[in-house]
Amino acid sequence: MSEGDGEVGEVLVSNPSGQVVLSQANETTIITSVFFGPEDTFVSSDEEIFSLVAQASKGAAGKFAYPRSPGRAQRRR
Amino acid sequence: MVVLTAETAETLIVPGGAFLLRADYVREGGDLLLVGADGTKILIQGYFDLAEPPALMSEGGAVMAADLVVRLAGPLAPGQYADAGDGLEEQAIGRVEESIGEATATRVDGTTVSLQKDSFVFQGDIIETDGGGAVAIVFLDETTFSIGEDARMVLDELIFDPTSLEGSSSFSVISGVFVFVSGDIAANNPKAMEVRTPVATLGIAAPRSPATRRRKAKKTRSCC
Repeated sequence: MSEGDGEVGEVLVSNPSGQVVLSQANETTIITSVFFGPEDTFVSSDEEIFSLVAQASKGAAGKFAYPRSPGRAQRRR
Repeated sequence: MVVLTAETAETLIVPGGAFLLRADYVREGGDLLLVGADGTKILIQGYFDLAEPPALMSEGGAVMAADLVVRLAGPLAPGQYADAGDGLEEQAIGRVEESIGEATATRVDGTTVSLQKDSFVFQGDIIETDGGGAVAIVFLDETTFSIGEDARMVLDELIFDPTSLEGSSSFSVISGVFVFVSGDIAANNPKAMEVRTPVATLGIAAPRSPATRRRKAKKTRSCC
């Protein structure tokens, strides 16, 4: 996920079956088991990201994004 | 009730899919009892009698490391640690910035407290939310971590030197959706922060551009 300036860091996602580096804004991978490495990455839309990481509270001036349950995001795909 | 016998091995397969991630972990002498929300029980005989108990793994390949199993099962003698009393704040590794619904922390002595805004959290705490719950925590190095509803995470470790801004941190998210923004620890040493999940480990490969790796660095924001 990117900050307001658009810059992003890099996250290494790994398990015994493989690894992947996420280095673009909204870059996404799926991992279902330690028996399988991370799937090929893809870039999710802002809408998909925010449906997963919805801001449920405005009390923290947008500093925190409270996640919703995964099922809600998956239903939107 | 399903009964398994613990043996010295790398992993022990536990039936029931996500049961392993949602169950209550109960220490019964040398045995480990897993209790599901629906009352399902799995007893693992002799688990705590082993010098190096195995990790537990679901049939689908979600792993609960042995140290997490031990932590979730609680101490041998719950509630019998000395009260920290004064100086509690100095021992805290973070503070709740915001809490929605029901969120709790189970301390290393086995006691469970409700988390409210400004509640302290400590190394070893098990943080849990119920349906509709969420909690956001700011740690000493300014790492922020939010978990959503029906989540469970363990604050494995956070060591931080506020002078050098260096240290190490490890968090284990067992279930639920989470978001974190890395803080000073990862900004100064990306390899010093890790987030474990049952199927993978997340590490910081680079906390934004090299020019911004010090205190005022842009932080790496990630979610799952």
